[in-house]
Amino acid sequence: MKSTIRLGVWVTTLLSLILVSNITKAKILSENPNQPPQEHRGDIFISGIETVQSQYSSLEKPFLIKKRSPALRKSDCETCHKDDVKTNSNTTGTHNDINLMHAAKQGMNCLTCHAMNNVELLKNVNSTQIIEIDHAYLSCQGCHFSQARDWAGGAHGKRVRIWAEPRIVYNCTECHNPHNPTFKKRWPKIISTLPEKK
Amino acid sequence: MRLKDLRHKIMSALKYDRSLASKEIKSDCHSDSIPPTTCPKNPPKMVGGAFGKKTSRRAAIGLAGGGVGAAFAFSACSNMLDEETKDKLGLSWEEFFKKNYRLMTDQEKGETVKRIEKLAKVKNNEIINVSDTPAKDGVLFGYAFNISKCQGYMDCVEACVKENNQDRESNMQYINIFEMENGNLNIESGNSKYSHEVPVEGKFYLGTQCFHCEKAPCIEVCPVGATWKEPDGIVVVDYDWCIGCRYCEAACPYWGRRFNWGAPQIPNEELNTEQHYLGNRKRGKGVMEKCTFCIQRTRKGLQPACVDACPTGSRTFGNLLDPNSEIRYIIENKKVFRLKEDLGTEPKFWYYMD
Repeated sequence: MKSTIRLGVWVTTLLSLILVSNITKAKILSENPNQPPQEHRGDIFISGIETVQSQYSSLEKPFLIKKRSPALRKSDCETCHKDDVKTNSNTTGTHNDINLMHAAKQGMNCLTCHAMNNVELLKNVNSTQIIEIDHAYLSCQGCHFSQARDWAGGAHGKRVRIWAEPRIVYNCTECHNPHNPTFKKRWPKIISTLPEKK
Repeated sequence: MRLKDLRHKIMSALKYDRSLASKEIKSDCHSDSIPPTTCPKNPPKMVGGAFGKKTSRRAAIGLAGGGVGAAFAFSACSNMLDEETKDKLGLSWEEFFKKNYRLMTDQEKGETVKRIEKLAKVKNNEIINVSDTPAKDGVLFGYAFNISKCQGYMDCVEACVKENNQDRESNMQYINIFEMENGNLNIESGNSKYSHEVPVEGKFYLGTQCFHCEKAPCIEVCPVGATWKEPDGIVVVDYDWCIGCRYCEAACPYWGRRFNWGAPQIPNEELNTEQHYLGNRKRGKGVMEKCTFCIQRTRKGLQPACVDACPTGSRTFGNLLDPNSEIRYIIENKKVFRLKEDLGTEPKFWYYMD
């Protein structure tokens, strides 16, 4: 008898508590009604990356390449040199800031990759085919064919920002300076702070 | 006599709870691809008795506790508390008594995420955006690392620390880069504490982090079901469910897990405000954490921060179920290996060389 009364008291107390707590819950969550409901379920991130369709041959699946030309300073001689262009007699040519460290000893020079009549264009190293700057990989693959194959497949180079479709990859010259393509020795960005293994 | 009765009741309740925790939450549903919430073997914990048959034990305590808090707040004593403190108390109560993430309904997930955002605002004056983006169908994440390309620059480590709000006090890092002798693949002989200009002639660099194993030993040993494999293959930790026993840290053969000895310290201006419940939201003191493949980024289609930061293109991330993905090309066309394959942990992290 006593225990039944006690149980009754407990149940009543609990019910009232549940009621009160639910009221506070509703109050807390509905607070700030002016704030727009935030979207938590994100969509695939698509950003404004300027791309071109790849022209790499012998590959069934097409992919996109981040445009390289917008990042380049145009070497438009005529914007300054209105009259006949006269090079300084002390120098052997323009672009003296460029120190070619790309198989120069093996015989590469400017015109191995650059088109003869238009510095804005490249050429195929093995033929006279003209290549746009945005498709520089077509020039590189003339020698680095295995790297180009891996790059087209996905084992060399890297993607731009997203892993999902569409596939957008960096051009060769985005990571490698074409005049000096190897990665340089430098200090690490950060030192490991992990404890020593025992 | 009564005291004995009471004691017996408590003991049996405790036993019942323990057997549930070990049987239902832990082992049955993490290894297959059924989403844990829909797994029939994994129902919410129920207890009978005084609280009624349909209420889970934790929810019942939560409600009772919330009730007590609310009763306190609404009573005469509440005049001593201002609105903000009351809010904070109420939110903290609910936050404390929430369920394991796997047992939450979508609505409860949404509510808890909002609550965390609010708590960050009232407690630390942080305006954050926490998401609960679920895994996408037909996606299984994998990772590849080119040991011929890595130069040991450690840009990835820096990006990882910034992205994942790791503790700046203890300088926590998820990624280990080992400097190894050419021709030697024994990870034990690698030096991860190098501090000189890189790369060094005659050495190569090999990075490790959490490998998100298909048969992850860290999940097996967790006594409370606080860590599990998501349907897209990411091994995650529910930071609010972890009890900090560090069994998982001991079980991981790859040094993939980290422990918070103190509450993580991050300057407000360096805090990454784009967060995920299972990812880079602020952890508490005494809980485990680890690489989550940047779940807050990858679930939205972005690459992990380490992949984005790598200047050499050594790191590749993608969907293993997509036959056109780069990761599949690497596995199919390059010579790949995984670390400590003989352990049978099936890491989803492949190394390869040119």
